[in-house]
Amino acid sequence: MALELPDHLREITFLIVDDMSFYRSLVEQTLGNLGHVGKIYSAKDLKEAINIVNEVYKTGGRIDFVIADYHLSDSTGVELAKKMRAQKVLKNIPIVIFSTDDNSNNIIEAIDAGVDNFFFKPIKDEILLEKINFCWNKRNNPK
Amino acid sequence: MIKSLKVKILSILIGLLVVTVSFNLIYSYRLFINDKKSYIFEAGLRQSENLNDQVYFKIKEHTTFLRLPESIYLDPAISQKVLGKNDEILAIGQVDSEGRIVSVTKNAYLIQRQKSSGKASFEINEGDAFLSPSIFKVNQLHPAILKNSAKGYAYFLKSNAGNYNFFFTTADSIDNIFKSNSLFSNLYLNLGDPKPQHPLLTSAVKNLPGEKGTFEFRTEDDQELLVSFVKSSGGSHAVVSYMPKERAFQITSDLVIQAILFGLFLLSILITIGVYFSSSITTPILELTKLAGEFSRGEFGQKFIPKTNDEIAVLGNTFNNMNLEIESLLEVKEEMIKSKALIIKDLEEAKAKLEDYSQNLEKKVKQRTIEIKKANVFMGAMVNSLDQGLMVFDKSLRCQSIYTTVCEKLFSLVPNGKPLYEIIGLRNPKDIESVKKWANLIFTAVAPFEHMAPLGPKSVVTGTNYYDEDFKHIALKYHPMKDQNNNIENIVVLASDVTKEIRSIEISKEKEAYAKMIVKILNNKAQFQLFVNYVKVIFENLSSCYNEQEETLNCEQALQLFHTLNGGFGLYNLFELQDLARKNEFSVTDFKNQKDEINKFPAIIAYFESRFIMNIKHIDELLQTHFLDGNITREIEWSKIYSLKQLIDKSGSAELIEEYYDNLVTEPVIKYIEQYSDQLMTLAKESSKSIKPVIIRNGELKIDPAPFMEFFSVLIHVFKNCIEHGIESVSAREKAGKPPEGQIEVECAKIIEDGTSYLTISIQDDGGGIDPKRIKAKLEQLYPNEDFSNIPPEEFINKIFDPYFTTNDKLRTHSGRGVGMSAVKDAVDNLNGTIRIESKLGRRTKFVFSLPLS
Repeated sequence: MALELPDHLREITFLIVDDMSFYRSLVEQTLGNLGHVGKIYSAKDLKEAINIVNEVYKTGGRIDFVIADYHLSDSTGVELAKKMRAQKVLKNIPIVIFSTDDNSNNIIEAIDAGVDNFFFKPIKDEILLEKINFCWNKRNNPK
Repeated sequence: MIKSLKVKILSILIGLLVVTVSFNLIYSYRLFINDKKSYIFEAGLRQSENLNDQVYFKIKEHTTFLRLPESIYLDPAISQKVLGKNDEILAIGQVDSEGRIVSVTKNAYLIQRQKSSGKASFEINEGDAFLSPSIFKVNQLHPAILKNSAKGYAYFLKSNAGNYNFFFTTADSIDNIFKSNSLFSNLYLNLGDPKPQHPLLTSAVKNLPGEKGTFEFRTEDDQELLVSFVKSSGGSHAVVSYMPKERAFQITSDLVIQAILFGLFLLSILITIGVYFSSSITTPILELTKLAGEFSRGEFGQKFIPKTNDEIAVLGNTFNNMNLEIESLLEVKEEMIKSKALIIKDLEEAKAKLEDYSQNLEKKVKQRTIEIKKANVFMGAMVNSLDQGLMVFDKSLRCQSIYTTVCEKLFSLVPNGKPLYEIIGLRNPKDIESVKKWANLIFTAVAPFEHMAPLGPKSVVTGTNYYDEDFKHIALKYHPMKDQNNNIENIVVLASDVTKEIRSIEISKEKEAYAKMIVKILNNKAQFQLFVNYVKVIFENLSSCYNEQEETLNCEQALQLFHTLNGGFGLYNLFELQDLARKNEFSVTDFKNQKDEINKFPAIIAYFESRFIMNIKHIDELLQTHFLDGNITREIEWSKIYSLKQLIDKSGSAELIEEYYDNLVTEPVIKYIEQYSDQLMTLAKESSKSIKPVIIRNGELKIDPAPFMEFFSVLIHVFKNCIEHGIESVSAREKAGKPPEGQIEVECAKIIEDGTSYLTISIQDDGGGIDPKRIKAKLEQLYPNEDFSNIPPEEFINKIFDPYFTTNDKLRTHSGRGVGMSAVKDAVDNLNGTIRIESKLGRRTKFVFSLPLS
């Protein structure tokens, strides 16, 4: 199987939230590896993420997919999920979180709060692809 | 069938004929009889009437009325006039003036009396009056006939009115009337006679009404008569004409017989015709039947040839056509049957198989059940014998009754009904909550099971360090159990005890660290020596941090020092010491708060220092270094030492030379012998022999090893020889009364003989010794052309040094090729040394090497 996003996911808009710019660019690079050519917004923390979302929606744009670090400098993935799921327009956007440690409790809490899936660092092309596919199908093709 | 048809036709024809004829006959007979009867009656009646008339006229003709005086004596003249000579007087009656008969004399007869005159006179002999006078009405002139005797009839004659008249008559003329008719019999009945001649007939006539009539009559003697009668006008008499039925119907019977005969005649004709016709119909039918029979047997060659041109012929042609059609149909059918026969055979086989199968099914099911049971038992035993625990959890995350017994051992509890977090010993409420959430997310299928499974508890670890006895590491893995709709129904937890694996990983990590430590130390000997010296100073400083009198501690300094040690030990992979330093850092931190514990500090330092010393000592022993003593060693190239030696030799100073040899050249012999010790233990084990560690005596003896390098390297063959050929097996040793473990002893010495110094090394085993006879036998076998008889027995022992000599028949890894001992001999020869073998059969063998020291 080619490690590439299906055609309908190549041009979707991603929002990546991580306090380390290095890791943000790593995620962007991985998405590029998977054949993504659409827009990517980057935020260093929750506050910035919210600002970006507001700005994007104000100008008629949209966010299709969120990839976020669990540990944010001003918050966690749980907060992010809660905030997003509380807003009508963001309610159905797939969220994947990642974490450097494997503290399962945090991840479980985040999923309980509305996160769709997760992966552990280091990021791997096939894992990210699998998670994006799963979350997209779950949110956009509910059974 | 055919016969019955014929019979049927005939029977029906005959039956019909008989019935018709019979009916005809009976009907005609009846008609005839009735007709005849009425004819006879009519004739009879006419006869009777005729006779009656005749009687009336006869009476009228022959009745004489007499005017008689009261006396009834008849004047013969008168009587002559009235009566003929031959007349018979039957009766004489008296009639009154009105014509009525007053009296009648019955049986009156004329009595001829001869009177004197000679004339005959007649006297009527008076009889009894037999009729009532009223019966007669004389004036009406009713004739009455009296039958009073068998002779004939009496005629009552009327008298003239007004007078007593007598009448009389005779009978013979009337009788003649009656006699004259031959067809009918006639009677003249006196109906008033109380004792008539024919009582039944008389009464029958008398009782019948009317003046005349007919009837049938049965006489006393059972004769049937057809009777016609006419009564006289007074009813006193009747004329009867009768005819016996037999005679009357004589002709009728004749006619009946004639009719029957005619009928029989007709019948016979009909039967003949019937037989002919029925045969003409049944013969072709018979033939057709016969042909049909042949068809039914499958003979289709015959054809029906019609002999007539009627419906039978049509039937025959139809039959022939049918025959042809059936024949062709049968041919088609036969083909079909042939092809079907195979199918039928297959079907029958299949049926038989099916029956067989169904019969065996129960058996098979039983057998299968037993097999499954066995398999279950086996599976159960297998699963339970595995070190892996299997548990099944439902949506409430409680363990189902399905789990392997290993779980009880692994978790030291019975998991049945208990929640997962309790089984794996989670105590932190946050952790428990998290596990509950995790399970809930799995069962609500928020994400695929394989995504969620890694978030579950990964392991259960008891004990802190892998080397602790109670250390246990159980790895947990999760598998889904799905229902028909692919929904997760249960979570299967696979618990494996990986303590051993974790231990061996940790041990190998430790070994790796240890190897790294050795390498690091070897590569940085000088720096390590400096570090060891520095640590010694640190320990002194640590001790001075503590004020014994005041029981106070300079925590800051102690902490800093421990921290330094922590880093330093880490650098050289001295993990035990690093760990101790780290622990002590924590202890010191704790002392800040727990001042009363500070007095434990010197003990801590003492323990730490002792561990440090032990570690460094170990390294020194291992690497033959002197780090602990503070002796800094250096590796110097041999060429540099050799050039130094040359300088010393040049100087000619004995003192320098000796110093040089002692410190830089000579080495203890043990160094070159000890190296084989481990190898020999392994060798003994492989040969299934048991030995004690080699004893080396006087091994510290120092020599310049350079000339002996070849010798020391081949010495292994001597040791091998001791184990292979010298030391016996354990059982053989026990039999010989020796301790089970063999013993090899090495003794080193420096002796001076004839002004030459020798290094002597003796190697002795306590084995079975060398048997010269065996060697001789072997030699004779190897060299059959040579004569060994002149060689003394002790010389044979030395043959073991001959190249390619071996007493072994099989090749072995370590010895037996016969090269080893020969190599030893060569090495000794090169040194101008000698070998001596001392062997005592059953007790020991000793090799003594004497090697001159240059």
